[in-house]
Amino acid sequence: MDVDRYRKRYEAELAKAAAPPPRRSRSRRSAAAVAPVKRAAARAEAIEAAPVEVQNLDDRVGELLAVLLDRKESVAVRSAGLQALGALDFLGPRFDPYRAAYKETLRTLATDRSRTLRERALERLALDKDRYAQDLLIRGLEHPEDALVSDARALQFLAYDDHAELAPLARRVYKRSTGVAREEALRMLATDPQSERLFTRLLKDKSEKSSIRRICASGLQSLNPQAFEKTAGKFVADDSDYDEIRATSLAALAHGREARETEPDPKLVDTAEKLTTQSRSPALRASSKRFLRATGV
Amino acid sequence: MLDERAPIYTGRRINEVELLRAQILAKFETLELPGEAVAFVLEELETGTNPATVAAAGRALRGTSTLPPEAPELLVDAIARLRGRDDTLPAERRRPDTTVAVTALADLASTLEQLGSRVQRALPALRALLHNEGDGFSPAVRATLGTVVDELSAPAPHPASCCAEGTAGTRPRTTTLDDRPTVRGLARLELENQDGGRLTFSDACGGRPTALAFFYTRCMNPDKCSRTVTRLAELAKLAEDAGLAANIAGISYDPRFDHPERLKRYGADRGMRFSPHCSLLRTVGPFDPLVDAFGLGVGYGPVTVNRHQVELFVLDGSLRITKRFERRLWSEDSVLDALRTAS
Repeated sequence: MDVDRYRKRYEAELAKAAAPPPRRSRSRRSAAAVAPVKRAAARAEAIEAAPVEVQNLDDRVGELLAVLLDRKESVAVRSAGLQALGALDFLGPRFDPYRAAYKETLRTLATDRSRTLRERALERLALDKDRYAQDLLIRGLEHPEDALVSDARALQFLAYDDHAELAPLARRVYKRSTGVAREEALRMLATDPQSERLFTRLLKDKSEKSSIRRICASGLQSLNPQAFEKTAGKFVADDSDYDEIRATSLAALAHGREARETEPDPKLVDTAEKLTTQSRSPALRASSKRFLRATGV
Repeated sequence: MLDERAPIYTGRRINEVELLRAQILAKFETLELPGEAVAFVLEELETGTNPATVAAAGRALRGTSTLPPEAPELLVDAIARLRGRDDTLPAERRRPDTTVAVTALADLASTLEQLGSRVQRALPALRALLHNEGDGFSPAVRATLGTVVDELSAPAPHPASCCAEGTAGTRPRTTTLDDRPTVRGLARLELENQDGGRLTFSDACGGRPTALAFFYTRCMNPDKCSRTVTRLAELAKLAEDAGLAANIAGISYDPRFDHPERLKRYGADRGMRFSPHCSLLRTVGPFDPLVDAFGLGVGYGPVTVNRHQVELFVLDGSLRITKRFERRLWSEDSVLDALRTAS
């Protein structure tokens, strides 16, 4: 497949479509100003609606790659092209011959002027654990002036590879961030055994946001189920704590119990039995029932 | 330089390690491949998943005067395995006279082409691959592979040209009866099994022959740890069916992450039927004594394993290593035979 040939053909078609009419009145000029937008929308719609014809895949992929690489084209059209290629990717083995060219195009898009395209390209590459994309994302987290996407998005994308071994970086982002980026940093740390103490501390800290404590509950449960059981058992019984934290913890405890053969803590079983009838929170009642089922009570 | 424990890999992320290994392997294209590097090249072709590193292993074979006998078929296996994950090679690996990107599959196909009649024994596998899965390759790769098939199918001007190829140094390393290193020093090493039960290394591996493999649950290469544990499960069944009293065990390279619940799920998902003689384990204290005693091929990044080899050891009842299976995939039958010999 010759991407250059398709790009040239596409550019010729584009030039033809964009050529101005020979004469325009003043009123027509204002209409002409919105025309490219309409044409772009129509082209984007046409790309999205084009049926997948496996027998013409070579032509179709070539055209779409050329659209993506055309920086003069509108973001709407290029986004539609990206969407269409993403759909073709699901063809599996039929798409294999184009996979290398597709990845290379995504790498080019990863530094595009359009934030939308950058973000989508980086996400797709990150899903594939692509080294180039990971390096770009890491550089953005280490040097915010080079960031191609927000810290939160960068961490989300990097977390697609739980082997990326970015715990030290995630810890730094956790310390400097607030909001979603702080939560994403904690999610990433859920595969780092050295973060167990941090999760335990945050989980016990009632001044922390409920969302942070829920992330810590599942993180600690994943890293050290026994330590989690010990910690969670205390605040499941604490009526003054958030119901959603208690429900999340009980659900995680139930999940852990399904894989264990040791006896559950009798106090925790008593608490769960009470909660099944006395709690006003449907989530807490449901988690309590699940926990009791998992313990065989 | 290719050993997983080499200092250049320590503390690096997996992708960085792969890049370095690809660069080192590709250097052998213009050098004679040293005997001690052959196993690394074949390992990469057999189980590697990083397209650039596998292609570099192929390039390493271009510079060898003695092609390992299994190399041709492993090259075809590698092409089949990478079919769904082809990628362009890093820019520094492109030809200096062109800006055209070369993909890993195109590079591997080119290796087959350059090796010419030396890859004769791969002809049936290559022909079958093109016939069954040819549509999955780009036209350029398909064309190169087609040329290789045509050339190999033509009558050979020099019969038996493959007879000069090498035969040694490519099988898993084995240990002779006179040279059985012992790991008795590990006897009191504390371990934890998939049920959270504590035991010593001697409890887990002593008293009867043992097949002991190493793995970790977050290994991303399906041909390494996942396959190893699946085969351990099969091995345990075969040993039981054969009436062979043996221990079948796997120990995690990543003990801080692989807690008992995780080990239990991982093993159960791969068919392990746990018993006192069939278990997945982790160290309770440091893992280093195992690395030192067995000479394990494992390296670590900032958090976890960044690279490891496939490795299984057969021990006799006195904790002496009677056979090692390293780098290359092992079969259940060959390990069963080794267990019989050790009993």
